[in-house]
Amino acid sequence: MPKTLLLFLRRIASVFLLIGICASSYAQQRVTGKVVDPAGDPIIGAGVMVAGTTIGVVTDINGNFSISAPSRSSLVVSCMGYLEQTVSIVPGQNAYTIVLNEDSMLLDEAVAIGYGNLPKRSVTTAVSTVKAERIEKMPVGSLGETLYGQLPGLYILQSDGQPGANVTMRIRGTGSLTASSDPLFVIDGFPTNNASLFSSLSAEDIADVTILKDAASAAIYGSRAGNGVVLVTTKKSLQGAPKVSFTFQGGISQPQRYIDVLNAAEFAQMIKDARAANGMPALAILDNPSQWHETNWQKEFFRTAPFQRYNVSVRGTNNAVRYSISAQYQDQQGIVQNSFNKRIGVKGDIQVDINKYITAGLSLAPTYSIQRRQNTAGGNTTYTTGTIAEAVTFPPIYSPYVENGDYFQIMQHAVGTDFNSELRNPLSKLLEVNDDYNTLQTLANAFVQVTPIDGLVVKSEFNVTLTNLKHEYYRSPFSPGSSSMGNKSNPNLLAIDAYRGAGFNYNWYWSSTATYTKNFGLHKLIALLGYDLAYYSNYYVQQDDRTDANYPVAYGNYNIKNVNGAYIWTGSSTNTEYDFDAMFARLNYDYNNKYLLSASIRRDRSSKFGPDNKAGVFWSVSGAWNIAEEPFVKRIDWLDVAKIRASYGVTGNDNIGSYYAWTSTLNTSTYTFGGSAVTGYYPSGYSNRSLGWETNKQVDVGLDFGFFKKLSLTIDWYRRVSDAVLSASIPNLNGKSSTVTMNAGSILNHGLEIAISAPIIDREFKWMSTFNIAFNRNKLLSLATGNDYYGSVSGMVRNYVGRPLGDMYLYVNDGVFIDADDVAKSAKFMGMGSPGDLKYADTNNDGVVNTDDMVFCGNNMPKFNAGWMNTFTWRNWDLALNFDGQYGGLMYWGFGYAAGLNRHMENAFAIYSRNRWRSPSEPGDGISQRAGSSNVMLALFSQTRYLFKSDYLKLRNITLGYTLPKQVCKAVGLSAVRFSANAQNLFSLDEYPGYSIEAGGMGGATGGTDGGTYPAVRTITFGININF
Amino acid sequence: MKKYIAILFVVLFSLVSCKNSFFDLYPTDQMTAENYMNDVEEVNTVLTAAYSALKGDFGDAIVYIGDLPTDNAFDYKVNNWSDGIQLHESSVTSQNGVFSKLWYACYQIINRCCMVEEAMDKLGVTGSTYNDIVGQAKFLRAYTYYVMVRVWGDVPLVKEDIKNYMDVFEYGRTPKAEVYAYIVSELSAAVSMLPDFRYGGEKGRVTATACNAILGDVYLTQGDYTKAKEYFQKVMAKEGADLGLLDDYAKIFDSNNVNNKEIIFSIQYAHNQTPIQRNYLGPSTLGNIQGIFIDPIGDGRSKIFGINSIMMTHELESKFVPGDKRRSVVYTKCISPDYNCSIPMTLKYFDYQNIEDGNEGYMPDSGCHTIISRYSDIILKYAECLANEGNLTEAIKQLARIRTRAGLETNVPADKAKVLEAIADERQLELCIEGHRWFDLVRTGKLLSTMTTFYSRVNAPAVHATILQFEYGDNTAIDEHELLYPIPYAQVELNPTKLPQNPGY
Repeated sequence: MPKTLLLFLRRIASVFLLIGICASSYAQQRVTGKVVDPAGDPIIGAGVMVAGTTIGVVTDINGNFSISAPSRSSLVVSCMGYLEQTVSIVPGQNAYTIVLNEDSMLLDEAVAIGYGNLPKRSVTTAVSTVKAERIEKMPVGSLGETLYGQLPGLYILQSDGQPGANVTMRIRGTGSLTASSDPLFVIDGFPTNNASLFSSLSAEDIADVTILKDAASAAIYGSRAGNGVVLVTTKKSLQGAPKVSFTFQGGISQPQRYIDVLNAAEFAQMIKDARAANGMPALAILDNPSQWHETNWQKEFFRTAPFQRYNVSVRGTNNAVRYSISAQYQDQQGIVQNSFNKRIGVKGDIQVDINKYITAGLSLAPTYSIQRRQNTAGGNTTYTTGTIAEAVTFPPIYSPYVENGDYFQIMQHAVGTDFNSELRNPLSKLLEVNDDYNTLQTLANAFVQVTPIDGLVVKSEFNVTLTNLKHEYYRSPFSPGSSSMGNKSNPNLLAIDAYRGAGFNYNWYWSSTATYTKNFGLHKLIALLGYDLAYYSNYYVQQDDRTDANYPVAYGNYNIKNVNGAYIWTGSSTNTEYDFDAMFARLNYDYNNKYLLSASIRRDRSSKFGPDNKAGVFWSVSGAWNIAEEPFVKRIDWLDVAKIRASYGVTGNDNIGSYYAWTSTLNTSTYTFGGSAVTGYYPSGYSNRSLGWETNKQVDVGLDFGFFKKLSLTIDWYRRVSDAVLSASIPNLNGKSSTVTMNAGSILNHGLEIAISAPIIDREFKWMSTFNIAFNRNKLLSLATGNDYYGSVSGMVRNYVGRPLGDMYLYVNDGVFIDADDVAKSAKFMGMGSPGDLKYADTNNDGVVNTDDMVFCGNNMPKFNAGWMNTFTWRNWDLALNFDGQYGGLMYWGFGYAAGLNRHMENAFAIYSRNRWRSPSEPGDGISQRAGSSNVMLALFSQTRYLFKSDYLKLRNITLGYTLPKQVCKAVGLSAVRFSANAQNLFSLDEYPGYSIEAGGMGGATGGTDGGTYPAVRTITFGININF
Repeated sequence: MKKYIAILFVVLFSLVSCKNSFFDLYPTDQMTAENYMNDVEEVNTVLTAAYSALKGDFGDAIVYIGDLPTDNAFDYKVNNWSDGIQLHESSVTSQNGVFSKLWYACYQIINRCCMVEEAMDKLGVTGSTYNDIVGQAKFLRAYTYYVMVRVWGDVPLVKEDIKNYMDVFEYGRTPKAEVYAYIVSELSAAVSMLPDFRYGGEKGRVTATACNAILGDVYLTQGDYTKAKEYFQKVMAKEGADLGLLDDYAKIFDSNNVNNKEIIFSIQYAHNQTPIQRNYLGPSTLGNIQGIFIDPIGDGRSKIFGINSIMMTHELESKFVPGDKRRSVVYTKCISPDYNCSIPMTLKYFDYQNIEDGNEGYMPDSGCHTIISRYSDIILKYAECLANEGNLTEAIKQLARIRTRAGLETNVPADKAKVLEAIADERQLELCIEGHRWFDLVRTGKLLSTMTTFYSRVNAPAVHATILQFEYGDNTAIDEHELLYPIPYAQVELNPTKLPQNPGY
């Protein structure tokens, strides 16, 4: 290792030395010529470069060019839409006619369609693909974050910024109420619902990601494809001698923004005002600024954290053996103190052609990760969670630590101040709680593929996925505990909480397919027949240890070393499993590349469903017409592609939560007779023997166009109706359950997706731009129990039949009560209100404010989301700018309550307290209530002042790269070197005052609220990529 | 080559005929309801589950409803518990969580009792085993309906386990009289099936004495003093080693002295158990007054505070005259620095074992029981019957038993109205924060007048305005429709024709 490292460093050094020394001493020769297409028509604007240099010109309107080039050099001629061509300059020959062949790559490149590939021109369904080069450069913690805005119809949000957390993905809207709406992931042919298998793939290892959007494309995955499919193909072998590639990215992560809260002086004044309003005595410290420590608690809570990622790969072919080996290490420290995710993984693929008929292969991809989580969400009055709420509300006049190194705690160091006694120093929770997840995930695959006769490929593959989890939770005695009495110098053994968990998930999947391809003249046929069989199991045991003074628990603790003290207090375990099989067939028919037809059918069986409904049949048909292939269109020069697609299909969703959702189990309860505990059993609910699949029926009509060999345009319209399994409410007067899990709801998603891609400038300076926009409209069509709503109709988020899921109903802030007159004449909630209190609109004019005054304020789902990807290249420089955004939704600042009370007990958000009501003559800004209201309840309403538009426009990623000139690399024995600077989430245009606009999540039936989740981060890195 | 094809096709499709039974997977961690209650032992576990549904929501609601909407108790508003505030300030809405939780808990008890009875009938077991199990089920179900009929009036009378879940839409509200008739017939049947007292490991189970006590109560509520008296006498005839008044009032509630001879029926909780068996009324009835610990022993060891849900009013505290021994369970040593006054609270659910165990914080474990019926309640109700029948001398004699134990004289003039008033006042003091006051006031028709007087603040003590606002609300008023509480909103919404809402909600 040291030797190779040394060599590596030496090479890097020589690269730097050679930069700039590109002078050439060859004889120069003037070369002229013409660039034409196969028909002989001139190609305008083609680039002509002298290979290995930065010398280049562009062809004129007649396709002519003139360039000075060294003899014995070669010219590289390129133009968008044509295949690049290299022409050697023959000494003495000065005129050249160069014919560029049309680049049919775009049309003929293979597109993954599930259990096989098709050339793009033969695809009849709605699929979108993103290639490696648009993924691998980004400095992100999980693979999902690279896909923002890249694929029309794929909606991504990072509601949880915890290092190692998965992003949330939706393909064409939300079709379920209680079941999962997450897509199916298919990683190199292995279907899985485990998003973390996808997230932990190394971005450098990805060849492409394809999403199957319409039911016709997804139907081949039957009951698992109801929410669409994300197909991932990883990089495999490369032709020829081993190619070694090394990538490094290193940099920092930081919070995207901070929230404005009152500073020490403003805080002291507000507390004084509040105490005066409550008739409380003066508090000395508030009048003694010399005793204050101006602490910015958010700066203590968050940090700038290092980020680093290494990837090295070797790919090549040796006769009949193709191989690919890569290794990755990533260390992502969290912006919240004491949180991180570290991941190390290797991936190896090997394929051997045993003879000319048989190929066998094996791949193995273990990943080990260590994640330390912080539970930041929740209110600021519990002793385990809600740390963000505490960071914004902790009195800024106190320092985080007292002189002896103890955490500053209100209950210990500020007794008698009346500050919120349940508020704990957030650092004492962050630093004294270790919540560690160690996970070893292994994906293993072996296959054999036989080509017995021309056109027939028979393949059988076996996958095993193993996930081992070790979970350790430890809260130390230095944490305050429920009595708030613990600290470093005075450990509170009662505050110790400790448990350990171990998980073992074991799945296998066996898939066998036969694919037959046959051409009969102009007719082309591809037939697929297959059978899948799978088994899934989850196993988890947890041990909770007794934690009192007599039984201190030692693990994870640096103070108490007595391991023997641990004694099992309670524990739990789960073991669930399910079986699944599928039989499927697909037929693709192609007449002269003009008329395309495809149909598929699949029968699935799953142990998850009721005995009366275990099997389900899913099918699809689709067709396309390549109009551009018709003779009458072929004549139109500027139209390269014109394709009309239409499809209809039925898919299912089997992610209905539990593996045993249909059956009612027995719950236990305990009662004490004569002083001893006796166990009782009762049914947990009703069994539903006919519980079946969620089905999705989807129509898709699409248009693909290509103009001027440059511009491509894709438009898709779809209509998806999902029959949702939900836990339907029934009168609970049988005491068993107030709900029954049944196929009871119908949800519509329909929308339009448009993607345009074009080179805006195509000269030596190139600007390639891709824009996509996806509109989705959602509607709850019906509920079987005859209800006209789902969930609650008194809460903030309501779901009415005939309306989209996630309508927001709130009390409308109507300023504050200016004075006693205003109080007297205004409608009030339960008679509450004094001058300076928050006032709410009596929207129904009945003279009182009550739940009937909560009004519709909009929906929590965006009307559209869009992505705009730009790549600029100039000589050796490249720049990528990726924007994405959404418009038309709402989100709610859920943890706003914690710091919106203006009490004498804690700090407050500046926007709701700085310009507060002080007196009838100083009414403030109209949304900020007085300090020290006795009607605290009024500040706790679901109210419009915490409601914000979820619209945003983000510069999601910016990457600036410089590639070393080829001859420089060659001189030091490297084949390519690229330096880059990257920034993720550099800026966001939005009106949200919280940490991250994405924290509200996808919205829908129950979402749309930021409860203080771990915010998404900004990451800035520098990177180097070296190919040897 | 053909060999390979043959082998592969065999491999490929040999599994296509995978048997359907391969997909019959049942939970391995839990038992399923499909096949249970095959013997008496299994049926008994369902009966245990019926008992355990008394804990929590059901028992808590009896105390919340019994005391919060009265002059006894209030929610100390800093906890923002709107359900409790609504109860105390006569502004209950149909979405109040206390009532939705009580409703569901009631039907859980009822359903489990129905399952028990049906399973026992099916098993064909007879004799004492049958009587004991079914008798207990009958009592629990009847008592639950008795709570429901007083809280809501007409309620759906479900007498069987509903097998098909869509059938629940068929059940509407049954007239009150029919529910009462069912309660009486079930309790009467249970009396003869159960023993008078329980011993050892059976303590805590229903007895014939409890059936008689509740039967008396049912008749009293319906104004049938003769019948009520008859059943109370049946209870009092059993006074002796297993039934009677304790000398020390505080000992009735002591978690180390549960199921004492004063207890007729109580909901059983236990201290420091796994799984947790604690009484949530423990923290509910204690205050969190600016983080000051509740330390009744006064030795500084207690690090406990509560959650402010059922705090004792200053008005009630002032009714405990000096020398009333029952003050031993009233805690007034919590002085709020901000509001400069003592905040009274009851110690009936304060578990002293917490101090010994060093437990701390706002959620102390409480093993104190929630008492449904105890002997002094029966004595006072018996006195109420006597007074209503005009037997004032005997009524005063019974009243004196309770006052004597409290260390008080009994000087009541032999005037029917005065005697009834004295009994009512005594019930308020003797049984406060045990879930009786609201039911007593409704039974005697005094709720509206008592609460109107209370809300008018005529007897309000001189304390900080904020505390007064906590205890009395602002311009609070009670209306006649509040003699019944609302059916939970969600239930009405699900079946509005068969489950109409009570008027006024």
